[in-house]
Amino acid sequence: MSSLDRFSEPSLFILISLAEGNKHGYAIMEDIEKSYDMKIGPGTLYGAISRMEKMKFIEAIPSEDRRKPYRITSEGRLYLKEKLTEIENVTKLGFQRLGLI
Amino acid sequence: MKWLVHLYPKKWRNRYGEEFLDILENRELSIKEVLDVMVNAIDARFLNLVEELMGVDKKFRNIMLQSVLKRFLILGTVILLGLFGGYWLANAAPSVLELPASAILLIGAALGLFSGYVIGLARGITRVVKTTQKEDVYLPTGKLKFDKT
Repeated sequence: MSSLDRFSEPSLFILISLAEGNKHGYAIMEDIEKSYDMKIGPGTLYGAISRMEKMKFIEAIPSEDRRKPYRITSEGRLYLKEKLTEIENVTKLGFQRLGLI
Repeated sequence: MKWLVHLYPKKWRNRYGEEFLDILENRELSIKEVLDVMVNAIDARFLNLVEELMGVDKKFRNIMLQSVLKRFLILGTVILLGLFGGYWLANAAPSVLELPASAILLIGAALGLFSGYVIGLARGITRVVKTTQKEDVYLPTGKLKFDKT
């Protein structure tokens, strides 16, 4: 979906995916592909996961399974809210200037 | 697909290796995705290197700070010894009037050198403090950061 390219920061999509519920890497990947009709490479996905884990936006849930589920933290929720508000403001301004709202 | 995981640094592999391999094994990887893994592996190696360098810098700073502490301890001991020694010498040494002219000249030169050293040191410290109030200055002892508010 080319219209999403401007905001196609993988971390944003991962946080949105986890805001719905806990998921492991593979499920996050499938959710992103299904929701936005775009592909996210495994390297990009885990690069973003490791960065966000360091920033404490997400955390791994202890599991014996090979696939470790992740959950969004309160800091992650706050960051996501801030980012979505930014996008909302940009979108609103864009529509206003186009005379669509 | 294991070879792709091995492109990542060991620390990363220990943390994410198994789950990452699970994705690689359960997916038909396109060339684009293989390239994506390779590029991100380079990125992870670079980040790992930066983290290691930062760790080395921290260790180096700790060593240097310990060294500064040691220097202060040595300097403090020398000053104390000098004070007590001077007091003892003042009691035991003859009056200035009794000293020969060459000895007075020598003492004068030594005192002049010492005063110059102390003034120079004080000026150096003042300059460092003034500069660091405006910007961060990196010294061999580490980053000197002063409150600039």
